[in-house]
Amino acid sequence: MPPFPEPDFVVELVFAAVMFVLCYAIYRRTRESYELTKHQGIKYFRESFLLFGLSYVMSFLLSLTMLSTEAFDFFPMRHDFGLSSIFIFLMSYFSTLAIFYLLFSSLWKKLSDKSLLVGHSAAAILSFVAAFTRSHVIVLLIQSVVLVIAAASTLFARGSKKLTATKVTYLLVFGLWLVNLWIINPGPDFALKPVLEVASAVVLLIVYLRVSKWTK
Amino acid sequence: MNRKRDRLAVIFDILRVIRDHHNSIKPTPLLRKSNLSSKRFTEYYSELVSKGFVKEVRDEYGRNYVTLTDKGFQYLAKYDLIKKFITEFEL
Repeated sequence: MPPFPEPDFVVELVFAAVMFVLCYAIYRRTRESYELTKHQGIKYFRESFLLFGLSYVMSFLLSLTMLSTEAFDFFPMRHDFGLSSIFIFLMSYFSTLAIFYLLFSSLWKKLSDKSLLVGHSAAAILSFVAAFTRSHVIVLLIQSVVLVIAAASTLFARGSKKLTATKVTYLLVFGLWLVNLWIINPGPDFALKPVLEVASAVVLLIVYLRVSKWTK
Repeated sequence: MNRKRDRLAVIFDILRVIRDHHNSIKPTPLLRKSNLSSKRFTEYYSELVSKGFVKEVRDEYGRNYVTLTDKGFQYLAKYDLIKKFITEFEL
């Protein structure tokens, strides 16, 4: 066993922590607005970011299982213990729901009672498929399709086909999530990974600052 | 002609009427100034009382008045910001 943690592990840990803290900060920051108004759009918006933050934590744990299998053969968190399946399931479930919830935050007036159930069921089914195959690539492919559908729905459903700064930000948040999913275990030579991680954190920080502006 | 008010705007208008009457108004004038039907006013009023935005107080002659709570004042203070937040994020 090496005397110090692997550098990759430390970077991943810091990245996951930063992303979770930023997501949770957005969730906390919007609490007062929601409690005063019980506005459904605000509810879905803040829960989307909470789910998104949990996705990053699960992504880190998945990354850890992969790293531990490669680096420490005796480490208890191995693929064959089934832990990776659990983390893939939870990561997929939280992040797919986060995309749905962000979509719901814009379209809540048009939602029926069944929409929420359909969202949870779809996320659960997709996550079972991903966990069964033990592949984050499956999550990536499925969520890419979900994201495209969500983006198109948001763009056209509210009557305005204009690509506003908010829509671009949403697309960046989830686009970068998908990129991070793609490079979840790229090997030590993938130099672009830190750049993408910093870009993800910066985009989320921009969202937080925009939220803070209106929720003093 | 004004567009139909959304729920948040109706609540804001009711609370503002109370505040503008020195935080003390009888239910009947409040109904009249809120520009709502009696049925809708009762629904909103019950919600505001149950959520703690307003409270009923009785004076020494047994007359009922409606006043804002701290939460009601807080709603009035934050309303503009919350509306801008909702607009900015297209919620």
